[in-house]
Amino acid sequence: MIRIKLLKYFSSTINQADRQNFNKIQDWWSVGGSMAPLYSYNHLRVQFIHEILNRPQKGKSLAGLHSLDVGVGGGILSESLRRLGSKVTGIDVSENSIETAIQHKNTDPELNDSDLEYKLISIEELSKNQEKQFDIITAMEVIEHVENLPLFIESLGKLLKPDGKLFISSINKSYESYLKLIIGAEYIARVVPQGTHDWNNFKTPEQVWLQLNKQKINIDVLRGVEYNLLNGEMKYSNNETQYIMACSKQKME
Amino acid sequence: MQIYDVCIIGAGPVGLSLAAALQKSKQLNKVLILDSIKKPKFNKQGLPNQRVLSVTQSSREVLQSVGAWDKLEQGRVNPYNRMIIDESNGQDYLEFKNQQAHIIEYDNIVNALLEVYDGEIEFESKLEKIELKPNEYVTVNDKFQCKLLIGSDGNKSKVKECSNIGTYGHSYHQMGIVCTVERTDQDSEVAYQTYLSNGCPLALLPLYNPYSSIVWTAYMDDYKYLMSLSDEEFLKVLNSQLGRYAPRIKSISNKRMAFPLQSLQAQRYIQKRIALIGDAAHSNHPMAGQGMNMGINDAALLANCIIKNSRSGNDIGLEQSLEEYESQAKLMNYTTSIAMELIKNTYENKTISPLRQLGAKIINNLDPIKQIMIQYGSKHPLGPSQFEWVK
Repeated sequence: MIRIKLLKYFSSTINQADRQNFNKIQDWWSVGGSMAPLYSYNHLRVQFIHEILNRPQKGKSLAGLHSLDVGVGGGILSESLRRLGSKVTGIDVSENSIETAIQHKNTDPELNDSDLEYKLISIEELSKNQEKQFDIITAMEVIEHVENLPLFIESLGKLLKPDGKLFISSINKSYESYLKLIIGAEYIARVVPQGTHDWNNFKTPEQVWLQLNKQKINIDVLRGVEYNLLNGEMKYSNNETQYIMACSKQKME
Repeated sequence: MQIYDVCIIGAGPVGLSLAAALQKSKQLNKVLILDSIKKPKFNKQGLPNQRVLSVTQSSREVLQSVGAWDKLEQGRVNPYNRMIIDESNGQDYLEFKNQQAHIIEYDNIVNALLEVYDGEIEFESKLEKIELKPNEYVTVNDKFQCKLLIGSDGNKSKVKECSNIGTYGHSYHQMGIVCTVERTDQDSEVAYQTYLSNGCPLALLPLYNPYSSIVWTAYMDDYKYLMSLSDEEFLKVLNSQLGRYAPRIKSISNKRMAFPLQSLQAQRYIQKRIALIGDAAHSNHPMAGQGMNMGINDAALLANCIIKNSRSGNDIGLEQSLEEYESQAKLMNYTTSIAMELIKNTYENKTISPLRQLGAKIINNLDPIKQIMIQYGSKHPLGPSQFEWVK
């Protein structure tokens, strides 16, 4: 028993293979680049966050909140959240991603303050050191790159305020996701670089739910999303091959 | 340095529509319009102006959505529901009924939009210099900065020139001659377009009674001759050339003006922190009067794009954000341009004249096809389907 506990303590959520992969991505922000689909996904993510928070999407709609963006990538969502008025902390384990995000942050003078900060740190490290908790935590397209999901979710739970909202989006583990995301997107349409995704590491919503439940976190809303190859837009869908969810902590009686 | 969200160069109908839409959305903080002209004054009692625009259903919807339609001087907005297209080479003609288009003076539209838009606007102020440094917004005239600079400053766009966006296309070696005339009849419901024997269209567009506006496309030789004529001589020539269905003209009301006809496309409609709309991005043959309508559609698409990205917290000046506008607008404008070119070539070609006349006869008697043509002519199928600023 002690051995298992120790193992859990020392193990990390970092998937080294994926980390190496992300260190190679050079075109986070280039037009028509391999990460362009994420840019169009961003509209839907932000819309979803507003819907769950029940705030009208106008002006500085997230003012007064503090968000944690886990796995910032190029910083697409972090920048958005900051522009909408929220204070943002973005973390990632890939040096390249953090560098790209900081570089891109500097291209917009509006973001030139300490309210948007990027840190090269893993979630479990952050949850150990950080006393502060967040109103919004987003882990968008991250858990499919994560090792040790229980530890990852546990760390998220520690960092989430009791009345905070947690947003997770990912890819289901199904035959369809193999066909669409690996064969379709990486090998046929080539909108995503080959080797970005490892199907074995995909997680089903049920898997995520189990881990969330252990941490006394509920899934409030779970929706499927779909990428439309014709107009490059992301939209809600009944098909849960790709899904986005909003979660909150169970109320203590 | 002052920082604006959006700066629009050019206070024409297109630039003003965009500004009015952005303002109505209440999504952006600061919008500025610059134009080198003096503040236009619209004389509601005076004679009609030479510059008139044919406003299609889709442009009308945009103007209505920003509240400008009601501000138009209604007595000088002329709806027409019939259009007769014939040619001096043959007997056959095309008649389109149940059109929903309006002929409105340029000044009337600008005036209405200026009444709606109450944001910052500077007249007699020229764009001289654009500077885009890394990690900064675009600096205009060393005076202020903006996140996105929009060129709606016509086909000699200074914004396009300063940002090194190329243009391709060709001149038609034709001029468009416009002026206002007084009709002999009181029927302001029919527009006429006659294709002369050399394939050039001569259009008679009804304004409020008893005025009409003419748009005469002429090759350079004819153009020089027509411009050199006195008003009386010009009237004679005009009456002799107008088609057999059109009413005769009583007198010429104002000076003739002329502009060169070109088919142009900017290589890009967008660049980092730059976007082009209207004539700055494209211009084509005026024979269907689509120029401003295409521009207004551009304005609506770009406004949608800016508002959507601003709502999502994206940087509105980034190419990624503007890309959606470019792909939609290019698709829409290319299809219109190709259609224009097709019609033009069909009417210029002498060899297929009998075929064309047979075609005209067939189409004229096929109402379903005519309905489809009217529908596409008044509302572009690829145009904006919703307006983000009225949500």
